[in-house]
Amino acid sequence: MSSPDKIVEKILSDAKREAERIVSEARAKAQEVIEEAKKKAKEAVEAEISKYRAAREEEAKRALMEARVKAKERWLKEREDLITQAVEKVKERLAKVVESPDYVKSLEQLIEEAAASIGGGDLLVQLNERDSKLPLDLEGVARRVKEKTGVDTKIELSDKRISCMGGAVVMSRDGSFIYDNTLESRLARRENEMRLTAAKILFA
Amino acid sequence: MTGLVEGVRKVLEAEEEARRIIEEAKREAERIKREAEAFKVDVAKEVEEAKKKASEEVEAWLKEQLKAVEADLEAKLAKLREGASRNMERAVEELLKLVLPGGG
Repeated sequence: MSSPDKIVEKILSDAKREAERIVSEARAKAQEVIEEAKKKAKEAVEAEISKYRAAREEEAKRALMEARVKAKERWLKEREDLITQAVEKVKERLAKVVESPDYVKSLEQLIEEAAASIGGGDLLVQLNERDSKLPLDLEGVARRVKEKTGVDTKIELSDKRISCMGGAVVMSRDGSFIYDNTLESRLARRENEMRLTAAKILFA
Repeated sequence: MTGLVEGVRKVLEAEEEARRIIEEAKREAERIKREAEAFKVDVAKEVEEAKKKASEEVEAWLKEQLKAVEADLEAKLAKLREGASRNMERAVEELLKLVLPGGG
């Protein structure tokens, strides 16, 4: 190879090397620019999404909490309904009990309980029409009340009839003391206790 | 003499070619630079897509949680009903004792 050919070859190879360097640098720089743009975009998206996601998650948590509260309410309602069912069944049973022969004894006990609560003495008993026809041993009841209270006790059936399922209203003759021991009153007085008892037994 | 002239001509042509190669490279570099500068990320579109994805994920999570709450409730209700069905008669007997002396 002649000397000028060598120079030509050197000039061209240097130029090609320089050209490659220029293009290569440009590509590297371009890559940096693109990466930077992507990074900035990613940061912008993440900043936006972070707030958005937090808001959606908060909404979802609220919805979940509401659903849990509603579920608890449904559970409580079901529980209360079942307890009410038990109390209603007691009422149904009471309606049968007052028709049974054993009821006379129960009624005497109800009168006795009321009379003793008043403290004995000269007492009148008010009953419903059906119960007033039952063969009640009011003298026996009076004796037991005297034993309990130590007070001479006389119990008479009042002419006045009351409207109730069963049980009795006992009062002192002068009307100063009254004890309502009708089944309805007993149910009402003991409703809370009944519901508690029902809950304990039903869901044991 | 002719050889020398021919040599100088070749060298001059080579230099011209070298300048052309470098100019070409510079133009290519400029094109690459402009292309890079023109690169833009559609942030609004990315945000919309990310929002959609986030919504779907949160909704899927919520759906799963609600399903669990419902299943838990059904299990608890079934337990209540089962207990009530098994113990109702005994409860009624006990309640009667509270209302009626001797329990009827």
